[in-house]
Amino acid sequence: MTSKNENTKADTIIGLLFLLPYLILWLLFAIAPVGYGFYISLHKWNPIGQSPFVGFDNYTQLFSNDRFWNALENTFIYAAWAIPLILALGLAFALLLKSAKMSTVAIIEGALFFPYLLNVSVVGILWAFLLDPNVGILPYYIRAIGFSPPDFLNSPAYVLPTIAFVSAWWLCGYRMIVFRAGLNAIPDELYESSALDGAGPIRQFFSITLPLMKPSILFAAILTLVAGLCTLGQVLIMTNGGPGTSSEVLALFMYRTAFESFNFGQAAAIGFMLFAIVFVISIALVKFLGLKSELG
Amino acid sequence: MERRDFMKAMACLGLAPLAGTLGSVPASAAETKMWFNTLFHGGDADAMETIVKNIHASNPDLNIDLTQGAWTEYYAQLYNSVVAESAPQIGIVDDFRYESVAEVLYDVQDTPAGNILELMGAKTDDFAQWDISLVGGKALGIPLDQNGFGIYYNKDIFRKAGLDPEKFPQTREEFESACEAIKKIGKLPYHPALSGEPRYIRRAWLALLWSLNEDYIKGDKAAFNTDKGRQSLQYLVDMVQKQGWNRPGTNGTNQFLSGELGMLQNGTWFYLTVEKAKLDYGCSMPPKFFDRQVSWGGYHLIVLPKQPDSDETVAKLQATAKFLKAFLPYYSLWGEMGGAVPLFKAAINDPKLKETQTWKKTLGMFSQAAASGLMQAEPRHPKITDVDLAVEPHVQEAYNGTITVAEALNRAEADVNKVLAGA
Amino acid sequence: MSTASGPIKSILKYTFYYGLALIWIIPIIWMAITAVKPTPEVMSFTPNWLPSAITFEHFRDLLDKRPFFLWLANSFQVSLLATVITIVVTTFAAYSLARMKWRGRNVVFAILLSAMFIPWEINSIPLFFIVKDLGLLNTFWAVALPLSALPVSLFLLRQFFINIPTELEDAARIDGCGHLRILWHIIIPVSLPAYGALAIFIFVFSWNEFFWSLVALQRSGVRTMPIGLKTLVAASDIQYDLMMAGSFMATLPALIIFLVLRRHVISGISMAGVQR
Repeated sequence: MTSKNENTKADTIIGLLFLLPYLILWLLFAIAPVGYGFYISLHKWNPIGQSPFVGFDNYTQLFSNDRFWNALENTFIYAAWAIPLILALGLAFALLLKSAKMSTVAIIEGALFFPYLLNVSVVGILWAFLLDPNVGILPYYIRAIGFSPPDFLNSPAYVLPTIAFVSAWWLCGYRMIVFRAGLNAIPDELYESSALDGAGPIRQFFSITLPLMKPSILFAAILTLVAGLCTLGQVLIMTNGGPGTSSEVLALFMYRTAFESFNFGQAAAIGFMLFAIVFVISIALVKFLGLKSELG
Repeated sequence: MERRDFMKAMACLGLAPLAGTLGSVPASAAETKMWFNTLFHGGDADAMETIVKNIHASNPDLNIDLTQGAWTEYYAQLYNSVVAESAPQIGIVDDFRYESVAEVLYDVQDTPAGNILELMGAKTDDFAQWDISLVGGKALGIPLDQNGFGIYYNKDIFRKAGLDPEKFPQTREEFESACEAIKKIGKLPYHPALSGEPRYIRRAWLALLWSLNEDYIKGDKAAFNTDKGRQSLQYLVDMVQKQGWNRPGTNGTNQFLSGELGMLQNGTWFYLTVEKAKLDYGCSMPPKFFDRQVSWGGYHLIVLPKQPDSDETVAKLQATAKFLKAFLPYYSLWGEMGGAVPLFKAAINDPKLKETQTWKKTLGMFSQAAASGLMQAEPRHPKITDVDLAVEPHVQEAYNGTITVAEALNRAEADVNKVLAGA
Repeated sequence: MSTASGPIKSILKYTFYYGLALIWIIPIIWMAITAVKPTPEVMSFTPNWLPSAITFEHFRDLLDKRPFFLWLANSFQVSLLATVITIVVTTFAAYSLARMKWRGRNVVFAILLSAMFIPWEINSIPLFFIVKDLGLLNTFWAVALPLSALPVSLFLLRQFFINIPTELEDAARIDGCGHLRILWHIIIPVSLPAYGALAIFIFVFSWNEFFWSLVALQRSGVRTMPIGLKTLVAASDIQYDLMMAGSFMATLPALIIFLVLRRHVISGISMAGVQR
């Protein structure tokens, strides 16, 4: 069977050739930066002139810096709010749209998706405006119905949940589309037969929808986690880490260390830590949750 | 959609950006162009654009690519662009960031093209405060303007509160009773910190600290954790925690533009915004809160970032000198449109500038304050930005009432000393 | 479920759905109203939903004073460039990984995919030095090329390709078709929905890309829309009127593209088998 072997050989060569363009871009723009970032983090990086090698000094400095631990904690608090919010809203909207059975559902869908089309600076500025304690419409209507509005962006307790909500408003539209596609793929017969068995919508949700959607929800959760742990724009624009350092997340801490203090070595160390945290957690979750089939 | 149509569409879409990208690669354009990168936004940026357009109109050979509107990334961008050997020929820096980027700037009196100042046909004496451009005895920039804070006040609110709209309070007692009068008519009396961001809270505190003749940093140590330091910060905190002149977490600029705020500390640049809002307003230096009348101030300098060694660089620097020479007559327009005090003597003394609306409303007052030394800049130190960043969270927490003033200054002092001791 | 309650139920249903949609886009409605308000009315302690006059002055200001159309054109170029490169490069890679039989392809795919967990934003510092060395700073390539290697694209397309039945391909192979012809005549034609989904994902992602563009595109001539809009924001006083007018105009192209491609997107994502 020599011809088959030759075939496989040719396939391997062509296969690799086909893969090559993507592989080059991938190496250059996804992998090389991580390695290069790690290299920078081992130096007292001075783009002009000498950059002495300092080993893990940048990391030990980081670990003895309270602001790093504070930022780490904030990062997880933010993620703990943002990820469930984004997923829950996305799923809820997808379910609502599925059960709408209206001819104009596209309009509703477009409206719910619209915020995703804004860019981060617009989202941040718009919401800072809406939440302003004096001229913001949200505090105004909270006052109008007789409550006293919290200091959304100026209270250590509320600031991260508030930013997480804004992120959910902005991003859940995309999750909605993905989940909706998933829901559409569930055969209607499943619902019909369970309805014959007398199952109500709530039981159907738990016995059919959720189990079938579980892999894609978990997959979305991991992607949202990656993005959530690296959130920068919303925080930079809405609070710049305040009040105090209550909303200073790791990505913002890294940004400031690089762009305001020009300490590129230290910033690269923060970046690499963030990468390591995100990467390890995601891979662990993929393994632990048994999502390998989902990925391959 | 047919596959063929789809692919055709993709091919067309692909060609458009390719053509566009190739056409607009700036590297090829840079040979004939100068790049002027500023950190201005809004009105300032409009002013600079007008000036550059005018200069280009009378000097068609000066082809200037003006880039404006960067954020906090501006300085890192400036720094990195020198590293990347693609730096702008002309930049603008704030005095408090000046020393941190010093190593990427030319000495304007000693560039590969010679003494730029001489080529401009100017003397150090032509500038109002030439000394601010010196770092270690070398002039790394050319003074552009002095900017800083004053107190903008709403004249309608003053009238309703029974205050004289033409006479702003000059002493602390007068100021405090004005605040009480404004509070009585149900308006907000005073916001000390513009939009309420931490850096503006810190700057408001610094002016009070300086009013008590206390230092911010001395040598390589924090100097503010003293009785006077606590007294000044306590006074600022009391404004929003005890006196009820305002609340923490609010945006004074929004309050003022809504016509609900009596007095707002804001910068020279605020003139343009407040004019657009069509408010009846006045502007004054803050009263003498403690021992000395003073407000936070800063400078803008025109700088020449270092370029790769080449003949082209010399040619570009010569063109830069020509541009800057043509810029000199526009210092007064910069003051008129940007609101800051131009640091070119001929501009400050320009009778035409004194007839402008800007001069009458704000610039005249700011010029006088600048001339009498009432606007104080932050101390010069290569790490002043890191010092400021270390102080800000603590000062903001004190302002918000989440920690005490003493605690805030203790923490700030520790962090600042750590920053200053660091390698 | 009596028929009598039908109309009431449907009224309630419509009210609920339209109410939800309305609440969700109130921020955007407020943005639109602010964009046409006379400047002195923009700031007010009591919300003013009906401005005393409608003005298009902010739009005019924006078009007069700022190179709005340049930003628009640049954003289109960056986004299209990224979309096209993604589609070309990913098509070949996904075909190789999904339809060709060579040893180790699944391991390679898993490794390629693991880059999905490398956060794109935090790479900006090393990426700057890499792009600088490639001489791509201040070109659209600097933004488009890194965006073309997103593992999500590869994942989406491979997943779609792998689910295409092999019968057609086998027939073609018997007829002596090479891989290029199979790709061109069989795989691509049935994958158009996946391409729609991929295109809109990459397009919107590039359209809104912010932080990396900020670092890589420093010259005024290459600024994209998000960076351009940001220049309307001053440190201490934001020109809300201009900002809102600009945001509104900037969002329209993306919205139109979404509405046009909507069906492709949804069917594309669901057919890609993400939800198996």
